[in-house]
Amino acid sequence: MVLVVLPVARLVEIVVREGAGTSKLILSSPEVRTAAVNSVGLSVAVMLLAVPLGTAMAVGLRHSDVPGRAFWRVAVLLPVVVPEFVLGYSWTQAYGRAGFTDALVGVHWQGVLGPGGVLAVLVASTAPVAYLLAAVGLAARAEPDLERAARASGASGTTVLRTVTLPLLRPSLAAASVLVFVLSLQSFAVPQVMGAPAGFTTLTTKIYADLSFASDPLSFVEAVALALVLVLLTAAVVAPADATLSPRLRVTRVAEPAGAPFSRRPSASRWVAAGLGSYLVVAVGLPLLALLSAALTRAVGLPPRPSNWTLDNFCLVIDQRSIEALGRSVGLAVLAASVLVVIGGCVALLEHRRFGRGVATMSILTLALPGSTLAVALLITYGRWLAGSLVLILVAYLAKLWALAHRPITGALDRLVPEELYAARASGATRLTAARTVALRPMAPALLGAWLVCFLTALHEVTMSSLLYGPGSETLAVIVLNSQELGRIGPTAALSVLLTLLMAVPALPLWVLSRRLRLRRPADTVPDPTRRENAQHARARG
Amino acid sequence: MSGPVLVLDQVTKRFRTVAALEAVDLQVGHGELVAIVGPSGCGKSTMLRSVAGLTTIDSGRIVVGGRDVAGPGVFIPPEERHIGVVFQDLALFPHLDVAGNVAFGVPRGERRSSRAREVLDLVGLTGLESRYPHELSGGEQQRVALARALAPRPDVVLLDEPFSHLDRNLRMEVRDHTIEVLRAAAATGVFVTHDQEEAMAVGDRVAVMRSGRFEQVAAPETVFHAPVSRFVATFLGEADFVAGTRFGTRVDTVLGQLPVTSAGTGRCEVMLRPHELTIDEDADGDGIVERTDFRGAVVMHHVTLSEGSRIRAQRPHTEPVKAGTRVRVRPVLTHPLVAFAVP
Repeated sequence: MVLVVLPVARLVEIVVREGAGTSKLILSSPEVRTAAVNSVGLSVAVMLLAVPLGTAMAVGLRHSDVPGRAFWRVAVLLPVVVPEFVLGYSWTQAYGRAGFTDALVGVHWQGVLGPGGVLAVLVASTAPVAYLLAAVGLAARAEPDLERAARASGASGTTVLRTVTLPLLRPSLAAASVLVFVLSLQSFAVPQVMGAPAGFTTLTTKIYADLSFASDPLSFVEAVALALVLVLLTAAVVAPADATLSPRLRVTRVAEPAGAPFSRRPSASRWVAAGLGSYLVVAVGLPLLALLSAALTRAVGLPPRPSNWTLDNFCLVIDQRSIEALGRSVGLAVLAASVLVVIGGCVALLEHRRFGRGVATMSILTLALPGSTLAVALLITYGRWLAGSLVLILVAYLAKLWALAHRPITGALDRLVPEELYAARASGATRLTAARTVALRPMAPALLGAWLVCFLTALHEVTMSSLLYGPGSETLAVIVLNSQELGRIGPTAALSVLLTLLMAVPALPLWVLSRRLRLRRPADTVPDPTRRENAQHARARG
Repeated sequence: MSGPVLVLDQVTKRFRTVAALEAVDLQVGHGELVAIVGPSGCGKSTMLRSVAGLTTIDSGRIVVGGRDVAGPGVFIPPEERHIGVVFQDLALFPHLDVAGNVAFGVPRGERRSSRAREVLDLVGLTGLESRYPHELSGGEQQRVALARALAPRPDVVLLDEPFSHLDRNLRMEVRDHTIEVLRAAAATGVFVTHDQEEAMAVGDRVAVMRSGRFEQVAAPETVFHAPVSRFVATFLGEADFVAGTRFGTRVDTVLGQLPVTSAGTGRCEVMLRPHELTIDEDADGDGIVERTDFRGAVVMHHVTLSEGSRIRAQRPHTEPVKAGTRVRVRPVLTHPLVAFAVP
């Protein structure tokens, strides 16, 4: 854990060395206080909006009778694939003054640059996380039989939701709240793109400003102190939550996929689909369209008409510098993802044997450790040798994305059926052969998934890269951010489109492949004839 | 109360092209317990779900407590059907304690906690009100599920393989207790199982289901001793068939002349259960013991007769006959046998 523990220890050391006086001075400055209040307030607001939104989507999409359910299930995750600062930038292009809606129907939202816009985009980009946790919780905890039992006992649909489904989901929702809070607290790109122009600062943007624009040594210490404040805030939320929630989340039962829950009035299902559709159009569809239109339009302010379309912006941005940056981004992401999957796999295996939960908790903490803090810490610790180099960025990725790789791999390891390994051993396979022939195949989707998540996250990582890059080590995301700060609307939009396409290109085929790889186990591992009967009925039904 | 509490009238349900229920008729009287038994996939769980309102039916009519709950243009949602269900996996609410689970379905108007206590007393769980499901043993969880189903005083209680998750010894005990409670509550019940013995022990009547139809609905004694088809005969208990020629109510077979219940002429098969046959060692006998199964109190002998058919005969465990011994097979009859015409 040279990657994490040592650097954070150095942070503490610096603040201590500077003395209590300096720290107090920094922490009592009104600017810092505003930033801290903004950060916490923003995170709470995002949490209060994103978790109900995500839960509503999960509950709505649970019923098999929603038209096009398979499509919606993927579509609600779209905001995750779009880099969040691209999403933020798209919103400004879509709803800001002289934006897309302004040009088309003369409506614009004054507050899109500012706390309101930051809040809206963060909600849109974290709601899928809440959705995922709620959906997993629904699948694992709220078994359809429980709802059937409640209905048979005389509870109506809404009563079931209130008295059975939501209470069962409580641990999952609490976990989602914590995660969304932490993600919002750490978010840098969205406040930077949408908040900073309106003078709305958060802890993360303040750290960035301190490191990039001020040369005064005190501002460096201030950045370090703020990084620590960020860690403390995170720890204050995560530590108690982890202690109380993790045992409760762990006792989940494996859901029997026996039968879908209730059929409802068809109108309800249509409402779900309509609601989701309009939400996605507003949150993702229109903004991305606006982005595309800004990228294609000859000059700012011209209406988005074919006569004004041009590819000049793309030609402008596809230069030596951005192509090199593109190469670096992809290379870094591939390298980071591959290293992480290999290390993650080894550690997961070891952990399975001996260390128990220690490593797991550690890896979660690195995820909770704000990117800004980690970047500052790494800069202090290894900056002497590695400042401005790609290696330092790679190290930062490895440290930060650790948990992303670790989680799915241990999860898949837990789901392995030990009897299959025993069967392989009993049939004469050595330990290694058994692992290779029996365990690797069912784990393939998880390994691929872990790789994909790490790759995509690394590709659009900007919080740490923007603090760590030097001449000749900019990533594509950093170039987009810089271009946006320079106010070059057309080129920024063009770069954003390129970056988004870059994410979609490997994501789609890999996603299809990982679905293909998913194994179907015989449903009836328990030799119970009635279960098979139910499964048959469920299959016949739909 | 007069009239049946539960009526199924020509109920049909299809999954795509497969008929899960094919024109099913059933009437269950007040306080009666009907056991539905059949091999897996025969449609018994679908029938239960149709009654509960957990699935819709394609045609026919279901009446609960004198009220149409499903039929042409009618679908009453499950919460308004006045039924209680004990699920196969029990489906106890893990976030509610025992009292909370039991009181769940009791209407708001009533004093819910006192009703819960009353039912818990009935199932013998007094004192465990504040425990959570995971803190209970399998048998106790079973009782909570039963109590929850009974608490709202439903017109009909549906039990879907409620004991399948218990091991054999506990299953007997819990089953007897459940029946006692259902009788004490004067509940009308429909009980689904794939275990024939359980069906005959539990039901006032046993309904044998096959491919979405009822083959026979009758008292346990009737379905056992007077099955209407070879399927019912073999599904409920062990049965072998000996070919013969019928003259009125007597059939000539390799085992001699056997009395049968139905008169007729021509070729037929007579059903014989292992307890209706015995074997004696006899060097001139026309059967050979192929193998023996030790079953505790009795030993089952698999015997091949000279004309090729195989039958099973049981003897007390103190007098087994070794495999390979030549034996004479002798019917020990207390009543006429059932004969099925050979098509």
